Amino acid sequence: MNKILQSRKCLAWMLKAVTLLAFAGVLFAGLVPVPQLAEHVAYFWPDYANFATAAVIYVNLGFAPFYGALVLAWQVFSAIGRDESFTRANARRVRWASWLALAEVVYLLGGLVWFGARQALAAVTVLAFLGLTLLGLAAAVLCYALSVLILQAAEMKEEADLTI
Amino acid sequence: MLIVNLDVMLARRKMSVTELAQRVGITLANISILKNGKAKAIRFSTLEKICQVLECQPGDILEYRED
Repeated sequence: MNKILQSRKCLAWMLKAVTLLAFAGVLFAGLVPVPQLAEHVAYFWPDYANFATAAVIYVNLGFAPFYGALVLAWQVFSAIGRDESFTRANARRVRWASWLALAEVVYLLGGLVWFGARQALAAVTVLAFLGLTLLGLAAAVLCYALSVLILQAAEMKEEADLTI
Repeated sequence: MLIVNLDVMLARRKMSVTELAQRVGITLANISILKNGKAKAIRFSTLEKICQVLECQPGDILEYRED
C-alpha cells in the first residue's frame, strides 16, 4: 500500500514538473524567440514591418488560455497526489480545459481573419494558423471526452465508497 | 427505500455499535452510513456477518418503505 501511495505522489510530482517546464517554455518563447522572429521578419520583409508589434502582442495574449489550462492541470495533478484522481472537481477542471482550448481556437480563427484582412499573412503563416487551430480543436474534444470519463469514474467511486 | 434497523437488534443483544463494527469487520463510519440510510449497496457477505453477529434474519434488520 505504501509503495502505491509513494508512486502516486511521485507521479503527481513528475506531472507538476512537466507543467512547470511547459509554463517556462511557453513564457520564454513569448518573451524571446517570438519578438526576435518578428524583428527578423520586419527587417527582411518590410511589407510586414507594421504588423510586427501587433503579432508579438497577439501571440503572447494567445498564450493566456494555455496558462489557464496549466493552472487547471496543476490542480488536477495535486488531486492525483492526494489520491483524489476520480472526483467531480477534476471532471469540472478538465471540462474547463476543453473550453479554454475551444477559446484558443476561436482566438486563432479571429487572428487569421484580422491579419488576413490586412494582408499580413504569408502562406506558411496561414498553414501554421490552420495547424494550430486543428490542434486546439483536437485538444478541446479530447479534454471534453476525458472529463466525461472522469465524471463517470467519480460516480462509480462514490457508489463503491457507499457500498458496505 | 430500504431502511437498515440495527438499533432494535443491538438493544436486544445488548451490543454496542463499536462491538458490532469490530465483530463484523467494518468501520464505525460504515455502520453509521448504514444506519443513516446513506449506503448505496450492501454486500451479501456483510449482511451475512451482521446477521451472524446479531443472531437474526435479514428481514429483522431490513425494512422497505415507500418513498
